[in-house]
Amino acid sequence: MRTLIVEDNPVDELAVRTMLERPADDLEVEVRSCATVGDAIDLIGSGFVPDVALLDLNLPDGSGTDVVRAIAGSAGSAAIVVLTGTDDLLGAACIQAGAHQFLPKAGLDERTLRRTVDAARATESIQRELADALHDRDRAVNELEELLSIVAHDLRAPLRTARLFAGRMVDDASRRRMWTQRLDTSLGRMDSLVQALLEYGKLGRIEPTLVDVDLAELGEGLRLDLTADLGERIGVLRWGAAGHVRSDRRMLRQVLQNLICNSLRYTHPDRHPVIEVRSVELGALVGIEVADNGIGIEPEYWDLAFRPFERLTTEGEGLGLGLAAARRLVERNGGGMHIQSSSPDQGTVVQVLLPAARDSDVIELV
Amino acid sequence: MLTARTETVEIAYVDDSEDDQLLASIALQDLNLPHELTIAESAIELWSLLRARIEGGLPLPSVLVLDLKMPKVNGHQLLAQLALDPELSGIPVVILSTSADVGDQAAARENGAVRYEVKPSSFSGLVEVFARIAALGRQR
Repeated sequence: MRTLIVEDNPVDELAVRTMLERPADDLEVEVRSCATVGDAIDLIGSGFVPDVALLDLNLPDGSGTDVVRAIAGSAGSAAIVVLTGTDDLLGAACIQAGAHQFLPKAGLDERTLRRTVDAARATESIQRELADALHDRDRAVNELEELLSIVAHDLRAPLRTARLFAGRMVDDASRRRMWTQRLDTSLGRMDSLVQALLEYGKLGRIEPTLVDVDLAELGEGLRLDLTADLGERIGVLRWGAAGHVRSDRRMLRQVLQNLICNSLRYTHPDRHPVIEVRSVELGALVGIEVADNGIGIEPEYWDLAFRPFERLTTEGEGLGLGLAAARRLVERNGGGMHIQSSSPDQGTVVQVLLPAARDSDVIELV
Repeated sequence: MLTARTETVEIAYVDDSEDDQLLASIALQDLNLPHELTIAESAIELWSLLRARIEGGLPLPSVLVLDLKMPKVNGHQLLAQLALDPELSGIPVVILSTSADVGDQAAARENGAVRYEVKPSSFSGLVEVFARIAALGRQR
């Protein structure tokens, strides 16, 4: 436990330090002291990140709640205990300012000090978890609201045309056949959208099982699967990825399948399509790259490519969920995904970053 | 003396939905007005088409109709771009979108659209929308 004492009275400093440094439990205690707020901030700035900060409130360069604010602002996730006089009101004000516990100095004994430090650490940890959870929740709610409005729009478009076509079937009998076909296409599109949306919703609910995934082996499996759908077109796929990553096997397979299907969907009319899957070792990470020579994406639209239901072209049969779903799956496996390069001249390289497998990882038998 | 105007109104319409393109052309046929409908599938296509007319000294459309939600460059961005171009900013622009969002309507007005039409859910509604659009084109 790294402990910082900010106290300008040498007698009090020694008393507190002695109590804390006396061996107790198995906890190793490293105590550092300073006499001013400025020195404390310098010490933290130099790399001493305390787990606990014990603060006197009357220091040469600051007093009261200002001291608490200054330390709370610079000490990251330290539990802050304020050493007060007998004034409980001041203690309460310090809690408001960011301290976790307060403790009167007079008659302080070791047991009370340790108990208060423990309580402050518990409070700090709960507060931090709560703040993180609230932040995550806000983000999720925002994403959901955004998705909801996009979905509503995208579902309304074919619904609206379906109504128009149905109306025409009645009023324009001479072209009934054409209107019926159009109506059927609109309804089919709505059906696909709802199905894709249901699939997308499922992604957040299945927990990934992280295992050691052999990329070469994964490639063989994927190739077999895709051959069933693609027939001879599978020839465009060149699998060069090897090595081991730590991921959920099925999810990773889905991600790569989405990326390969995307490459197949947006091939360049003047180029014989080639899709290459390769891997690069990047320290503790492995980058899996899906590179194609398709129609590419101009850099100014790269950000849009991963947004759910955002389509960059009206060509092809896509619904705008393939890349968004792939990214969501990768993130759920503790990885990241981005466009590494893309242009209409050269095609696209998407990179999936995942942790390299460790020796301790479970090797799942396929 | 009154002179009958027999000029053809040219409406340039950009929408990425093939269904909406078809419906627009049939609604205009039903109106029975002398008109010409030029269709673009994307903002970039409409922009290049207009610039090419200017380069070639050809007449410009009487009215532009813009969808809002389109891939890559959306209707708002195209509208802003049109407003900045001295040779194109004089053409009246109508927004035709499924969005009834007040934010979209305010943004369109701010960027210089003369009308905002929400895509109707009935064919007769659509014919009325294009009657208003054609009337705007004839005023020019």
